[in-house]
Amino acid sequence: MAACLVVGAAVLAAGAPGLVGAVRAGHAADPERRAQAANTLQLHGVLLALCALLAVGVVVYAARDPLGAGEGGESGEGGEGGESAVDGDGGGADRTGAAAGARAELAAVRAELAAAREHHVAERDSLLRERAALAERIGGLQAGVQGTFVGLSRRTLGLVERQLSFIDELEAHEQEPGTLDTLFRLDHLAACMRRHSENQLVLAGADHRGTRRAHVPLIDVLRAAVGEIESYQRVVLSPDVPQLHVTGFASADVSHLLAELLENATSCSPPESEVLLTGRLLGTGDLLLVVRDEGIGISPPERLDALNARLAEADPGPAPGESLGLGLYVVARLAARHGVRVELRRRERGLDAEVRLPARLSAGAVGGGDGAVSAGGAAGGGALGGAVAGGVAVGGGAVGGAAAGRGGGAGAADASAGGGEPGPGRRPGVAGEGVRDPGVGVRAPARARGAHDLAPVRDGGCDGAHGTAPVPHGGGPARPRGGPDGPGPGAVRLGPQRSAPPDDDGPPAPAPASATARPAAAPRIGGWVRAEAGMLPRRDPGGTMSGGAAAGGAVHGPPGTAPVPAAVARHAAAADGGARTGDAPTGETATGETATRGAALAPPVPGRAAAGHPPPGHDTLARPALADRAAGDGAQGHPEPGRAVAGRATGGGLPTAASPGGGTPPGGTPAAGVRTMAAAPAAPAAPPMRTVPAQPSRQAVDAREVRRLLGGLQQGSRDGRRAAAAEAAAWESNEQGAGT
Amino acid sequence: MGIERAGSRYVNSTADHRAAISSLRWMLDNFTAEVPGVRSVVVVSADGLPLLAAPPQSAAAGEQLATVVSGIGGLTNGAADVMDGGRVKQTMVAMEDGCLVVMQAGDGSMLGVLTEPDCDLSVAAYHMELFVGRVGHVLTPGLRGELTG
Repeated sequence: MAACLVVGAAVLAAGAPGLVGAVRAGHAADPERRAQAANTLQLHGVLLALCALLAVGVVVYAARDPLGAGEGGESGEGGEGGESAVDGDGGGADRTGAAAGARAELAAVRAELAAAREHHVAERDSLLRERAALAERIGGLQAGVQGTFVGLSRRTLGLVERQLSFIDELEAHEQEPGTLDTLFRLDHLAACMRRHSENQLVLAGADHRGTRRAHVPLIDVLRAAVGEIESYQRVVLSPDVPQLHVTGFASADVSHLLAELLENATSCSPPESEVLLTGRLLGTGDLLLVVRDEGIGISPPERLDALNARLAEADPGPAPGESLGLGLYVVARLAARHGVRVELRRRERGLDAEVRLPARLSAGAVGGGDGAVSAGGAAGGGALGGAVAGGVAVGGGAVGGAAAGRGGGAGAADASAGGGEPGPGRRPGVAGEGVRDPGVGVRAPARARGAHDLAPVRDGGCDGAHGTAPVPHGGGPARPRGGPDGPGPGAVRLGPQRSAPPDDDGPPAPAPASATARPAAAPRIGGWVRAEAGMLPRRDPGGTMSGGAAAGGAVHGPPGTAPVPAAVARHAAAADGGARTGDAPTGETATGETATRGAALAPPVPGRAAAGHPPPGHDTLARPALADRAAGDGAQGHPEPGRAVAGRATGGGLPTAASPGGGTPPGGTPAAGVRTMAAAPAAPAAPPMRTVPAQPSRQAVDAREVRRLLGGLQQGSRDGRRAAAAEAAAWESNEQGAGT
Repeated sequence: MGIERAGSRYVNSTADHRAAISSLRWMLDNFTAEVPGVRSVVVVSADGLPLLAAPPQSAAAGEQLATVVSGIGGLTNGAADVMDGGRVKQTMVAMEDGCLVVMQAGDGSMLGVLTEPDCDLSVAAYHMELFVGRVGHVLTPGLRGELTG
């Protein structure tokens, strides 16, 4: 339609020029024609304008509603177009109505949803509240359980401490060797119990020990650790431990940690093998302590990695029984507490547990004052424990105290110096005061334990290695009153301790001797260490428990008479009678017996050192030799036993450095056998079964498994038997009832 | 106890024998059904002959197990004699993939149970004892003749 209009317009427009021409013509001709032309022109213009208007309207309409325009086009123009435009308006209104309806509907839905949301929010809030309440309750329960644990452990600890003090008291007044032996065992067991209670505390996240201020010599920390495990006899403390101090607040935890590792090592290695505890200073200033066993190790490497990963965690998770044994769990927590790194490393045979103490936990050279403080503390503990004159007291701590006291600041934190000097110091005491004599006498054996190792050495003719009068030293312990030989021990002790590795001592000695000398040195120092181990950091915390020193005091407590060792010596000597008469092999065997006996006696020493420095197997062995000597037949008697001891020392003394086989004198094998014998009575049933399966080793797991199976079997069969019996009884009575 | 009475009651007549045998079978089947993780149960006479087995298995397998059980029983009895340890109550062979528990039942006959590794042994042992308590007196040589013959 628009096109028609446009065409019409065009026609009109075409006509226009003609009209214009006519107008021009009329302009010239006459006014009448001119007016007519003008009219026509006006009409054309009006028509044209109308056409244009229509066209515009049509176009506009078409643009607005194509459908309506189409219809309009069909039926004509003008009015039709307007009508269809009205139609379009009506449809929009309908739609608006529908939209309004939909909107209302949507609004209703929205309101509904909003209500639902409100409801959900409320619900969520209540759930959140509930959750918070539950969490609080769980927290409360946990705290309650932990509190119970802590309370229980503390109570147990308190009881054990009291028990220990009673035992110490008893030990002080007991002179019968057999009873003393029992007491010593009790003492040691109580010490183990204490450690387990402390474990419980660690698990509960509590710490019962007050912080110690004074630094503790590293060697004492190590001794304390050794003294707290069951098979302390099997632990060999390396002689070349750095002369460091451990900061007071960490000392107890470090020794506890080591004790767990040691227990782990002893329970996972064959009962006749040794566990070596060494330490060395790293270039970074860190201190590396290594617990080395020759046990079963950890079989799949992945397992080792997993264990190491868990050991590195601060809190290895809530299930200590699962992949980490109780012991290692405790280790992990203790290590995390002080930033200590613990790592297990596989060896060809056995396992190395490496403990890396950060430099800040160790104090290299502590001022003499500090040393004196700690030593004094120990001495005080000794006094508390009922020791006779504190000075005599014996433990390493007391010794240190003496040294510090005498040397003033010169102590220089040199533990070895401390250990060394008291020797001489004590001698004078012995000479001078009768009261102290017994103490010294008693102590002498303790010392002798260290010395006995010397005896063999001397017998072997290799004392040259140490240059310093080991002979007098050996004599000293044997005859407690032998005053003048004082310097001997002191010097000897100083020697090895000072010149760090015993290897250094070796070379000067004659070639054959050196082989023996070196191993001998190691045990000797070990022995010394044990003998001196008075100051157990763990034992005398707060001075409540008599420390090792106290124990020492207890030993010489019996004033005047029969120092235990003397009795022991007599005892052993009697047993030894055969040994002396016999030839070499017989002698050795006999020594073995004595050793066994000695072993029975040995625990006292460790236990006695209450602080628990462990006389190792060789100590035990050495004892007979010592006894022998004490019996008076100094010269002839001991060669044989001495040899045996030396052999054993060699065999056991250097498990680390040299192969045990190499360089072991012929006596070695029998000695080892002897040692086994000796060890057996001392640590009955030490095998893994009894100890806490600290390391979830295969063996331990198997043991647990077997225990579980057998337990189930027993339980089930017991119940079954009972049920069957009841059934039979019921049946019988029924039958009787039927019969009558 | 009423063992003599019961024994006489059971063993005297063939009918009673039959009843005893059927009840034994039934109880043994019950045993394997009731105790989860039991692989097989076998009752072996004092001289090593398999009397009953459940679930019914091939003769060779039953024979094997019976031989093993009887051997274990003999060994442990001998050991107990040597050690003056009194009567052997039970023996367990714990294997990686299972357990074998052997128990004395009646005079000389033995009950052997082979279990899965995850079997709860306390349950197994309970039912074994119950079984032994119930039928121990039945497992007499006379019955054995009946069973094997």
